[in-house]
Amino acid sequence: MSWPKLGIAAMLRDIRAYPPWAAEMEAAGFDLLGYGDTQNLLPEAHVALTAMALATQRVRFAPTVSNPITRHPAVVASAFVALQQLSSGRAVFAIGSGDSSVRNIGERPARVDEMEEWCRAFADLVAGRVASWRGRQMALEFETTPVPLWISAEGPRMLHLAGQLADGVMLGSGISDEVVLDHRERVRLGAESVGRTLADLELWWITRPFFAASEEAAWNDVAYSLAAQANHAFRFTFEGKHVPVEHEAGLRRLMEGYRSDLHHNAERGGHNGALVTENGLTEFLGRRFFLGGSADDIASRIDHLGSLGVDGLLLAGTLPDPIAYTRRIARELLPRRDAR
Amino acid sequence: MSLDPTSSSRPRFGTGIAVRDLKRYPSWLATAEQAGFDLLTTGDSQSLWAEPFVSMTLAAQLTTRPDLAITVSNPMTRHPAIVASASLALQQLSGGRFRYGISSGDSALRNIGTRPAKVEEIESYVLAVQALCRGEQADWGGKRFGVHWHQAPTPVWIAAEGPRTQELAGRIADGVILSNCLAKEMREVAFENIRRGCAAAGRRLEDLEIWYMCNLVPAKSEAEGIDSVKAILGGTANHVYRFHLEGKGLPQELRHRIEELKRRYDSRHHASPATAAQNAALVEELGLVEFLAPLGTIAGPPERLVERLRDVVESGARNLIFSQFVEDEFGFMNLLAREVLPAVRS
Repeated sequence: MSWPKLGIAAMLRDIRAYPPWAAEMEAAGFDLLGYGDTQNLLPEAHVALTAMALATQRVRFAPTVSNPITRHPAVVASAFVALQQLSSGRAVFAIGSGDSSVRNIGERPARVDEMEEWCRAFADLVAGRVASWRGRQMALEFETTPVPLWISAEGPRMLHLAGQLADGVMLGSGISDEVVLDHRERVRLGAESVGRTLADLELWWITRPFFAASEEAAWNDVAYSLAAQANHAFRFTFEGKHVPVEHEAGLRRLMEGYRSDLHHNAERGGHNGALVTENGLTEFLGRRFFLGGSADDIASRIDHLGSLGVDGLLLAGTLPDPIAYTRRIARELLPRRDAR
Repeated sequence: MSLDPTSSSRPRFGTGIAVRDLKRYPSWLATAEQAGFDLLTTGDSQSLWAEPFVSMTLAAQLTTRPDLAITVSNPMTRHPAIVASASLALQQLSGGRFRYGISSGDSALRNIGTRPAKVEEIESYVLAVQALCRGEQADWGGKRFGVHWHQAPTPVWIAAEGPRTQELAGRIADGVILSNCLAKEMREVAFENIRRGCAAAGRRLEDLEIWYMCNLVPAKSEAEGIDSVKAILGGTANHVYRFHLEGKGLPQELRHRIEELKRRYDSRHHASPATAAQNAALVEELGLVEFLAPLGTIAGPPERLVERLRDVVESGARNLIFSQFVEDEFGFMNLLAREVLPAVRS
């Protein structure tokens, strides 16, 4: 049984820490480096990804994930053609509808049709074709190079769209069996609707491993991060998202009270974490989103996810010391992967 | 008589390129730093060359001494929080050497079918970027927001060609970039406008860092050098005069020719002399070379470059950014380092 590929992401507020961190994670053996595009909370993504590209030689890297609101598609296409040149083909562009990056500037996330138009423009631009966006024609007039486009998808329509036009999908709706199988199927149907197959896409799930004596202990330690996951995954609708009816009201209260300026903020996680515990959502969200327990427990679950057809897992570190935490992930999990 | 605010300081020289090959750019940066330039720049024209925050990140990481600047960006293609966050990241990486230059937008916008920004749009955008970099809340587009991860001094420069933008720069910018101002009489016109803005904000012209764009073209003769950058003369004139002709020192008899240039200029070949034969022919056809060349171009063999640069520096324009509209950028920088810049500095 083959393990999924493993990616790693960390939220560091000093950009000077990223190059050595990226080099260390590459040397440890990760397959992908992720970086959150959330300009109000972290150094801007194009700068950070360039710094990481310069510090590495082998590993792929991606914004996990960008949005279609804060930059013109030609700006992003230009940046990723440049990053692709610089890194000899290791750049991946991943985009979602926008979460903390747009909430923290008072904007709304993009609709599915807006995502589609933006993504098609980006794909045309990096392929050297004339693109159309908001009724205007445009092209990159310097030498372009292909850049894989991954779409972050949680709802049924976005999953279908991703199957139709993306090179990969980032899935943040959870890692329970029913969610994994359902989302894989929806992407497959999207792909086949345009004559593609599931094999044309990489499917990466976003999750967070938390080492603790037990799953339950892990969930309680990181309730603020569970709140972020829930707020993101369920913000538009519960439809098709495998949410038990008894949790819908609690989730609504969580999303109403969620503070995006404290998104994944480990040092000030009390407010968002309480929204999970006070609404009785800890166990549901913990099992749904996170890998928790001992290293052996987590490795067994990753084994299982591989058997369900998960191509990759992006492991995001959000604890107060992200460098130490991502080192621990590398130390605990990569030898177990390599031993299989 | 007006004095250039930097007239008592030593001359400083910057240079920049449109980065189309990221693999080659590290060598360019090393050569530029070695050549002793004080400022390294790139433009923001995403459809024609690499996005500048990518290029500037390389510059921040691969150089140690020169200041770095985007000359210039626009307020239309990125949210100001993106620019503030990117600028702060570059300040961290470079040890505070980054400057963010902005104007209304030229080829970056023409090539995506977007109109240039109005002066009031530049103002609100610059104020937002400045506030965010200071760690304050910004008000922009009817929304209020802040950048929470860092704050650091980040000079914002405005490239200003018209009287209203120059006045705005005097009022709110940390620096000004002037084109077509190598001739003293053109600088006087610009200074009057900038001073008006300074006065409105209780500042002085001396509070601003002023840089002048200059096409420096080594060639066998002055005429040959000017001939090789005729398309660039057209591009600069196209954006200097594109909105209106008032308050810019343009002789009355040239007005209709400039209007014709604006009408027929092709932005797809902006800043690319190798592919811009049509734009070059247009400048020639309209008889504008003689007027435009002295305003922004210094051309000829090394001894002529030294002579003209000394004149310009002594007349008060002491911070010069040299464009590299040449085939061999490395040879250009090495020639300047060897035969031109030391002589001018001395």
